[in-house]
Amino acid sequence: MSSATATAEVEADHGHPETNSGISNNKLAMWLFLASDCLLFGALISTFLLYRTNISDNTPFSSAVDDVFDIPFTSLSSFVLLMSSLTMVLALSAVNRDDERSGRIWLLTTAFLGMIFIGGQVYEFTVFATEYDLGYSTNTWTSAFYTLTGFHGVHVSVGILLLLGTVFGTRKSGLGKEKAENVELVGLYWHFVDIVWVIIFTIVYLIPIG
Amino acid sequence: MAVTEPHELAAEDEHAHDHPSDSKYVQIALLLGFLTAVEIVMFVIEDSLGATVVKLGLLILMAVKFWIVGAYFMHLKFDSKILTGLFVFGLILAIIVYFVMLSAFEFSFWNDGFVDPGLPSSES
Amino acid sequence: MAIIEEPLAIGAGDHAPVVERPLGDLTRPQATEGWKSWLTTVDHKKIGIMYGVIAIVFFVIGGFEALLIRIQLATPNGTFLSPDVYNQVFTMHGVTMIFLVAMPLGAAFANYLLPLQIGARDVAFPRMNALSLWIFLFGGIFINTSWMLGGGADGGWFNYAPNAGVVFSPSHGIDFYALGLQITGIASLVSAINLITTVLNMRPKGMNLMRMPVFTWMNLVVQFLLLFAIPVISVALFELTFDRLFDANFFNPEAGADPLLWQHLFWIFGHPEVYILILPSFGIVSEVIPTFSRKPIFGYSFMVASGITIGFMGWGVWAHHMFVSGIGPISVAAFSLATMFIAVPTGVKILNWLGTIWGGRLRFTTAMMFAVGVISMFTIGGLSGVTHSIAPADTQQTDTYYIVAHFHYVVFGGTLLGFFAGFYFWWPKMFGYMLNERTGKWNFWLQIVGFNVTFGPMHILGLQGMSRRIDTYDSGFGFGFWNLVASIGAFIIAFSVLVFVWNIYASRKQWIADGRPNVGPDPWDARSLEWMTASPTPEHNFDEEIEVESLDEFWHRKYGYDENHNVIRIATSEEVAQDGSATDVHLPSPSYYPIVLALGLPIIAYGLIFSLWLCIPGAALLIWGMVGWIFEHPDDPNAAHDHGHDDHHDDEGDGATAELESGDAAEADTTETDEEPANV
Repeated sequence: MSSATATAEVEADHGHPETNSGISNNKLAMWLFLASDCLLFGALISTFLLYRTNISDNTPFSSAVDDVFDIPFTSLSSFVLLMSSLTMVLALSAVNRDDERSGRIWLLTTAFLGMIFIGGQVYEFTVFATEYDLGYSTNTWTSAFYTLTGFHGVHVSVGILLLLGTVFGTRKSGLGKEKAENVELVGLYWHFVDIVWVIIFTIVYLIPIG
Repeated sequence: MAVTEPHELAAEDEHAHDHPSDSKYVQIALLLGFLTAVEIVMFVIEDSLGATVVKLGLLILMAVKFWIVGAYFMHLKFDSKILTGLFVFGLILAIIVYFVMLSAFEFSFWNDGFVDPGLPSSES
Repeated sequence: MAIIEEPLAIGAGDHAPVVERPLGDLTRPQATEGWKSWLTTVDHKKIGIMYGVIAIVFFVIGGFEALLIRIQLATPNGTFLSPDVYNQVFTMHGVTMIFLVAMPLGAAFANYLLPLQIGARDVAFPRMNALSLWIFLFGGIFINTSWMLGGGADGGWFNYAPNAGVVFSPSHGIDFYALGLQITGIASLVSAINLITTVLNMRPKGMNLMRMPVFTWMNLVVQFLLLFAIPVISVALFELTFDRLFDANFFNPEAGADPLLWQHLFWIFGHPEVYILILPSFGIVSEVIPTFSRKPIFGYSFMVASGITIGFMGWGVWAHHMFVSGIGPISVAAFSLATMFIAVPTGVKILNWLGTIWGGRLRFTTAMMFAVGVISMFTIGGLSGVTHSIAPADTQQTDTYYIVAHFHYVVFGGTLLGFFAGFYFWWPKMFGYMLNERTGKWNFWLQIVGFNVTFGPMHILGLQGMSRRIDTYDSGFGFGFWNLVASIGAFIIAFSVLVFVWNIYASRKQWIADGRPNVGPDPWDARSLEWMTASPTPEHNFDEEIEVESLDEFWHRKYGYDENHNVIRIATSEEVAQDGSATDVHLPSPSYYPIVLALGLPIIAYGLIFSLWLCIPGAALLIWGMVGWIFEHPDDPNAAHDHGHDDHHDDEGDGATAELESGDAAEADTTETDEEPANV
């Protein structure tokens, strides 16, 4: 819009119209959203930090967090999510090369790894609820924990839908180089979700209380 | 949001296509995996390292992983500085605001014990 | 499918090719006139006007609630409202006025003017803009339906925990509040992303950031504040909702929770919110005063810098709302100091406005009078604000009518008077006719007198010790006289609003009787780009892109200097302005999907409150809207538009739509939106 007729040629060269910032509107919007989401997760993490010592309130056991968390299991699912970031960049790289087939495979792999992570989260929640009797309203810790990790899980799920949407929504139109920016945007979202988990994994699971 | 003229950015646009190669990405991912392994090791040998060292170490590793994913996988290192600025602004704002908020809770707990020393302390 | 399609399908004329449409694929709307065109529009001007109309309707509702409060308090031992209803009325008055009047009025002006002032043809994401509007409208309606579904929220507009919990507020009012504000928050967030992208990316050649009008700058700051503040209130509202509906323990002291968490999160949002409310008005004043002083704004760069500074500092003062909450002496001291400092950039603004007026050739039009009203009334409110920053004094003032007086002086005296200035100033640009100046001055004087008669005495009542939110008082307390005065003042304000509405009606009627004379592009001899096109603004804004060489570009094209450095007129407005007659402009196409998508949200919210089954149709609407949105080309290839000489050239040059051209780039648009609803 900034550039009505004057930049028609430039558009033709680059495939998108020139903007003042040199960043496409879509990409700028995505980054604005991610910046905004920092405040969202910040508030959820802060809530958790405020209540993180209250895990044994209103429960029969007097355990510390260490007894509840299954660190080897969570480490594995964290690793899976981390590696899904790799497959995501490989997908983008393939689409940039106009290698549609590899692009689709890597996108599907990313979605699959995301589903494994979500599966792990469902399993973890189930164990918490059944073996440790930690329901959503048991105490302040459980409310904060389930809400924080649940919000992250919802973000991952939305990411999975975006990935699948990108793969299956482009069956007719193709997933060529001209779609690279769409893949890139989905990727940005996906990596953001990943780095949020990097923080959650450290702050919620690893850092000792006290 | 520096004042940017469209034409200055044309050159920067070329940079944007300067992505690392696939093998470079794999190396980065291996590094991330390695850092995660170090985190877990630190967690396991917490007792011998001491809580402070572990806390500090884990936070540093967290920041490093965050930075690597942001800079390479999210291309911030190769993209317009405006994007880095926006994202880092949101990040730092979040850190400062919530840090102050949590400190305020600490201060108010601290205050509980100080102002009414004679009263039986209410469990908080 | 047939059920859906038939009423919505509008004759696409000979354009419509017979193709098999998948289920739920809505026909491209074609109406450009009539109510349907408003429902499906993606034009930032129509959206801005709708924001304004909706906000004024809510303003009348909120004003009615205010009158109920003032009737109740007019005399000692009032029995007009029961204590329970009184709680609901003052809560809903606050919620309505802040979230459904002041914020959308800001959005109305921002939507209408931002693209025009930077010389753009539309916003960056036209359909997302429509989406924001509809989400806001449905959220606002949702909150207000609580009156019919068991009563409104009753914990005050900030609904402190644990008073807002189910134990103390068993009705569904606060659920409506929490979910409704969540919905309107999504609207603000989407709109913020959209407008920031617009300002950063879509300026024409030469329009660098320091050539943007102050109004645009102030709104850019506001959108950044919204971008970062909305997620904070979202989390607070989610936690409140989960506490109330799913028995979570975020604010439940019995489970060891700290209710201060709500206060912190609310005010971390709430203080930037204060600047979200006031900065648009500051922007309007900064446009009106230079125009009617016939001088450029004094200290433009200071004006911009102080606005940005306010935006930054607004994040560091939230706990001054909590001085009596037991946050401890260290926090109180720190926030007290920060609060005193924030008066500095605001003072800079006041000084610069006075500097602009000083030595100017003043014209006291209605808009100018309202602008001067803002400066004087906001200064009073600002000064009483400084008294709150002194924590010991604030301890005396908290939760008294002194606070009520203070924030009405800033929000009514600052924000709302500013919007009235904006109405009188931009009315001819928006609707093509002037509001009557004589009636306007009646409007102004009634407003300013009514305002001071209402809220001035509240300072005294507060210092006398009258509690805020108290539903009545005894005759022996000595509150009777000033309360009666305040109540009389409230009715004067109500009358002045009636005068305003009458002015809209009568001026239009007169204009039609006069044969709809053209007001011309520039009735006020103004300075910025929105006056450089016809009035009312043509659908495509500008016939051709304007190349900008200076701040106040339009004014500099009209005026030059003679050899003695005296300002002389070098061109008439009509010579400089574009006549809006271009026909070969291809605009983004209207769409049904924003309204479909938005409609899903309140239905999901009703479902959360009453029966989770309702969430299913709500989610279905949401998904329908999203999928349709993604696969609908943002730019209708069959759109009935006048192709000029050269089709190809036209397609590439039409700006707003071009960047959305690439296939399902729209997917990126929805990423923002489809993520929030999933959480609701």
